[in-house]
Amino acid sequence: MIRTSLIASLLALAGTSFAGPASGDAAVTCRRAALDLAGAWANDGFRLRENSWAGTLPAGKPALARVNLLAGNRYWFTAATNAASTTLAVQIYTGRGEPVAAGTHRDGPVAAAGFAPAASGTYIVAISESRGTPVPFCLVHSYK
Amino acid sequence: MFRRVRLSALLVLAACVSAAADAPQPLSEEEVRGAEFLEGLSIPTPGEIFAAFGKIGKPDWAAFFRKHPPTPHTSRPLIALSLGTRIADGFLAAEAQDRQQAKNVSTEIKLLAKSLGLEQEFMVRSNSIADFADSRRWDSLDEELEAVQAELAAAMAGRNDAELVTLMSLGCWLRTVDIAGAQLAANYTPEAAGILRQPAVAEFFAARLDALPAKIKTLPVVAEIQRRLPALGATLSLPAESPPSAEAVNGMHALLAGMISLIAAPEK
Repeated sequence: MIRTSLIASLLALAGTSFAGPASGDAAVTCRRAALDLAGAWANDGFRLRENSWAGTLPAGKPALARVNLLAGNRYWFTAATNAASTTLAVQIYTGRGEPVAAGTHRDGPVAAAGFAPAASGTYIVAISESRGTPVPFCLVHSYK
Repeated sequence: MFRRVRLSALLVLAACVSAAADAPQPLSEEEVRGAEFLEGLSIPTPGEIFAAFGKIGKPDWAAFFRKHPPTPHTSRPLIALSLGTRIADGFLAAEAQDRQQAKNVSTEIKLLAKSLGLEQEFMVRSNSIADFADSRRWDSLDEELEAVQAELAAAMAGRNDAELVTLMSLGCWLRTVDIAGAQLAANYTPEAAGILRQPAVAEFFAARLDALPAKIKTLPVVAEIQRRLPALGATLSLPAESPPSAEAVNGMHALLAGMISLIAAPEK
């Protein structure tokens, strides 16, 4: 019930991104894969945010998005692509671009980074792909 | 179930192992500048903000319920702003674990959605909100409210009402920060003041308001909110190492309460 607006929400959000848009089918497949992994964090009490970020990775570059994270909370950013032969990575940086010590998980086309910020503020989430190929992706985000 | 828990434990273990192995390079200045600010991702949800405050004390969230429902509007932009504030009130009811308040807010959201011609989009969600409140599934209620906002936003966008999406999102964020500001003003500590830090969000909304059609941004309420946003943004953007003082928090709370009153007031 809660996720029935999947396609409408994805299409509404995809249009707002500088990372290239993903097709509707690709976005749905990627989101489903990301949600499968994010389910593991839900078992640890993390709440999944409704909105996701779907797009196509720019060739040879990471897709980068600013997020406002709050001290005291813990976060997981989980990404997936439908390109099975690729290795995806998720990394978190400070607002100035310095990498933060995040726990990361990588398993081919799905990846995640977990972080508990000591200070509230702007951070940058980066999604990259090992071969520099433009592939569709979807990022979901959980907190507790 | 057991399989999922085991998977979860394995993932956490794998995460710890890989944390030590990763040594990413800093981003370039160009990459930092190019990082996108996405409305659906970059702005913290009410649940996220309330959860952070819940970690450093036991806020009496019920103390921040509104005494009277907002006055009904006929102007669609004002209805969208008001709708956003009521969605934030729904999160507040969930945080306070108040079943009746959740149902009352759900009824008000339904009326506002109806005023925008979006009643059908909310009908089923309304029943779910009541069910989650009755069964005291507060996390599920939070998720449902997020889904409500996303679905209403998608429906507005689908009807070429993108400006209403911005106003609903702004109303929700303002009311959330208003509630958090009230909690902070009543129980000030520098640590708690630091939690509310959200650089760039007020700036983002100011830019979005600036891009609205003239007939909307010249509405007195919208124009007044736009005028006040820079002062709010300045308080929320102080450096992490020097959080707002008690006096600054009181000033911010007064500013926010004024904006929420403007949204709730009868149209002139």
